This record gives sequence, C-alpha cells and structure tokens, in this order.
Amino acid sequence: MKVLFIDDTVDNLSLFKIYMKNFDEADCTFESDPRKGIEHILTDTFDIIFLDIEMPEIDGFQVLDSVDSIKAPIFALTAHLSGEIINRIKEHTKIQGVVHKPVLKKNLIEIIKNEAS
Amino acid sequence: MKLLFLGPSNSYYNQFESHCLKNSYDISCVKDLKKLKEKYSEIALFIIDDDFEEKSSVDFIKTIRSFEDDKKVEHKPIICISDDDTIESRQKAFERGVDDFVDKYEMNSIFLKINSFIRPNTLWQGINAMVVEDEFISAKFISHVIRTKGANVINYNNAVEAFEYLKGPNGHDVDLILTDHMMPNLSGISFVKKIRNELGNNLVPIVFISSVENKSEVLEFYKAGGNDYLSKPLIKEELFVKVDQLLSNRYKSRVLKDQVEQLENVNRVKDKFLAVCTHDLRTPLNTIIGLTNMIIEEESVSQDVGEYLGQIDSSAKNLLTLVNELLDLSEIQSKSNKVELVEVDILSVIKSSLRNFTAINNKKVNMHFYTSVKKAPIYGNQSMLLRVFNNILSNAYKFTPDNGKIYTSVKSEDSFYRIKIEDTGIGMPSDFVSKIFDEFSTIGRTGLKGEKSTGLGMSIVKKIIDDHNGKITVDSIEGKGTIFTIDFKKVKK
Repeated sequence: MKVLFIDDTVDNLSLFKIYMKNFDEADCTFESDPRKGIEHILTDTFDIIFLDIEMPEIDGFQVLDSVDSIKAPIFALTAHLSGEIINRIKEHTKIQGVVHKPVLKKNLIEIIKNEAS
Repeated sequence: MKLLFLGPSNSYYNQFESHCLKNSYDISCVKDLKKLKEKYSEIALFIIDDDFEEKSSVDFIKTIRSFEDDKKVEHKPIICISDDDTIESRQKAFERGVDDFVDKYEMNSIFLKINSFIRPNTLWQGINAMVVEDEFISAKFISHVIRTKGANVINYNNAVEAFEYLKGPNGHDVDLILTDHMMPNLSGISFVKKIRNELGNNLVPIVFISSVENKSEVLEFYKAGGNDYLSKPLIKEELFVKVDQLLSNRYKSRVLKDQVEQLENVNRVKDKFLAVCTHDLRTPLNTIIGLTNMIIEEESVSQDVGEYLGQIDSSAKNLLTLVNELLDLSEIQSKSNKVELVEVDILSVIKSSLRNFTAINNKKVNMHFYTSVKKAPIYGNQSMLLRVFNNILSNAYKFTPDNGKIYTSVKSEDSFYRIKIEDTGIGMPSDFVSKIFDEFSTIGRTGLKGEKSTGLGMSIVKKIIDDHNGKITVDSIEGKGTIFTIDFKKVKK
C-alpha cells in the first residue's frame, strides 16, 4: 500500500513515522509542505491519503480544490470534534472519512488494512 | 511660569515633570516648605500630593494660606492631586482651602485645570467655535468673549450658510455651536434639527442664544437636540461656565471612545493569541497521547509501568480537554455577535446527543426520553446547541452512579419549549449551584469514576443559551440529583 501523509506540523509527521515504522505493508511518504503534497497527489499514485485540515497557509480544503479527481481515498485529519469544520468535512465529496487527533496508531492501521482489502 | 510640586521626587514626579515641559511650565519639587518665603513670589501655582501630605506631619495648605494671610497677599491657586478620589477626601481637601482636586493619574485633566487657573486666555486653545447670529453687535460680542479664552471662532449671519459649512469637509472640526433663533430663512431651532437629523451629528454641543424668554421656544430647542441655553443680554460668566461644561463633556467622551477602541484591540489580540496558543498546545499532546496509547497496546510492561503509563495518558487527556474548552470558550465569546440563527429542530438535536450517549454508556445508566411533540423548531445554531446538550448530558452521566437514571423531556408551552434533564446523581451543594455558570469558577469536580472537570463546560453552555435568547436554570439536592431546565422561544409562524 502506498500511503501519503500531509501535515504541516513536523512533530505530527514524526509521530506517524514511528507508527508506520514496523508496518511493512505500507510504503509511506511524509510531506509537511502542502504545496508539495499537491504535487505528490498529481504525479504519484497512492492507495490512501491522510490529509491534515488545519494548516495555516494552505489548508486541507484548498489542497483538495487544487486537484481535480483523485482515485485514492482521502481521510481528513483534524482536532475538531464538531462544528463548522466537521460539517464541511462530512459534506465534502472528495473526503472518505475522518481521523480525529490525537491520532492513535491502532486507528490508522485499521483504516489502512480496511482499504487494502 | 513656575509651579511648585510638594511631594516625593519619584517616578510619578518624573512623569509630571515631562508633562510640564510639554506645556511649557517650569517645575520644581520640594518635600517641605522651609524656603517658602524666599521662593513665594516666583511661584504661580502649588501642586500638593495629597497622599504625601497625609504621611508628613505638616499641613502644607494651612502653612501656605497662613503665610499669605500674614503677608496680606492674594491666595495663589493650590491644586491637590490624589490617588484616592472619593467624596470624603475631596471634602477634606476643599475644607482645608484647596482650589481644586484632581485624580493623580489623569494628567490631561490636571493640566487643563492648571491652565484654567494661570493661563485663562488659553483655556479653550485649539477649540473651533461657530457663532450663528444675524445681529451684528451680538455676534461681535460673543465671538470676542470666546476668543479671549483662546478659541477660534467662525461667524455666520445666517443658518443656511452655516449648515453648508458643517456639511463640508471642515464640518467635523467644529467643537461647539452657538446659535440665535430668530433669523430669516432658517431659524435656530430648525438649524439644530437639521444638524441632529439630516447630518446625523449628535455629538457637537449646541448652545441656544435668545433674547426672548419664551419657555415653549426653549423647550422646542431642547427637543430639537440642543444642549444649553443662554439668554440675552449675555452675561460673560454664564457663557464661560456653560460652554466650559459642554466642552469638558465632549473631551471626556472622546477619551472614553479611545479607551473603547483600545479595549477592542486588546480583545482582538487576545483572541488571536488564544487561537495560536491552543493549536501549539495541542501538538505535543498528540505525541504524548498517541505514543502512550501505543505502548500500552503493544508492549508488555510490568504492572507498575502500566499504571504509570495510565496516569500519563489520563493527565494528557485532561490537559487536552482543558485546551479544547479554552479555545471553545474564546471562540464562542468572539463569535457571539456573529452567531447565525436559523431554524433548527431542537428535538432532533437532543435525540442526536442522546444517541451519542448510548454508545458509551458503560455504567448502564437508564436514559429515558419523553416528549409529546413531533418537531420543536427554534432559531439557533445546530452545532452550538448540540454542544449544550452534550455538555449537560455528559455532566449528568459523570455524576450519576451505576444503574442510575437520566430523564430528558421536551414539552411545548405557550410560546416556548421547555427542556428538562434530570438525573439521580449525587447532586450539588447550594453554593455550587449559585456559581455553576460562572466562568473560571474553579468549581470543577471529579466525576464518580475519577473524570476530571475544568469548570468551563457550564459557562460555555450558559453563553450559548444566552446567545440564543434562551433561559437555563438548575435545581439540585445533594444525594438526590440535579435538574437542568432550559427554555427556548418557539419560531413564530
């Protein structure tokens, strides 16, 4: 499984790296620059994408607006539990699901395994 | 001109000294009056620090006044400044013979007073006054009197042209208008009405000058929006006093306006700070909670280590809850003017919240729901209302023991819907009940299973309900349970 993580906070990416360290089924790319993230989505083929929503310069929604059709399922990463952002995520056609922060390893692995099958 | 400051030479005095420089006053500071006799003739005015005088054993005011009476000289002005601006201290000071009493930290007021005593001809310096009077001699006299106090005067012999000036680019600079009534084309009263209504200027003070002692005319003037009235023949002193009052009010409201702007700025900065702060606070918590959970799930650790990890995890989660609540509270506070109220079915919101609970109901608390309505439309914000019920139900759940009961009901009254959430939990002591909606009341309590509370949840609930023009009340009996009653106005169809 080719997995892409886009999150502007480097510490969050470090956490995901630790989570994915011994998970051989996944070949992961970790990107902190959302602009480069957009390039990755357009040029490479991923099986699953985890996208942070709250990013200061270009947020998750803007990343999604910059790519037309994405084959891979996209999961939004957010600290919000309710409210406007969650509503937007739920109604967004390009977003498959939500992973709430703090992200737990077991939740991540479960989602990847589900998509693999 | 020389001033004498009786008080300590400290940082306050240094501030005072720099203001004197700005106002072209010479000032020296002494702590006692030993050299009073020598220096007396040079001094124009005394400033006495009331707080200092109280501590010293000498009564400065008495000393100065008895010196002056001995020498049979006219009393020089004494201004008393104090940190304790109360009626009692003012009375005391005036009884002892001061000429004025000002709050120590209102520098601008202090210097206004000093100027009014020793530079009376500059009292109104910088003020732009407009005199509208068709009778030549009166106009000349009034303008002259105002100019002797340092103000600029613009003259018009008819209100039509005067109004045109006020409409123009310089109109805003007019600080005061004095107008006659009996004028051709546009009367004084109509002129005032035009200024207040057409121009929308409710701030500029307007003084009415009239030779006719016609009470109904004066009343009309006040109704039109005028501030004060001077009768002809004009008495100089009356004009001074009335105009002075109006100008100082205008000055004070300008000061208030500046302060409001400053406060609004500070509020904006606070909101921005909180938003940035909480985002940055959450990030390390992600790592702590994430990795602690991973270790607990995957590694085999000793029982002790397992206990330590459990504590780390729950502490981090408590911290996260606090951070989230702080951010929520500040978001709600800053949004309270912008809450969009649309038609929402409060019944479905409550059902939604209850559903969330059945999923995590480990304590087997019995959740009951009663209603006789099919829909309950109110004006509100769906997610905020959901938060209200999530918070109240989560509290009810926290403080209700295993196999307890939580009853939720929605009833339709005449013009509102009444929602009750009643639990059979441990209840609250009466002093808690009175403070429960206070922000930061620090009456957060530990739940029955050790759940920590921040005490903010209820203040968020109250804020949201207030923004919805609803009402919330709490009743509680220790050992028996708690009832929350919330009323929301129905949508008028």
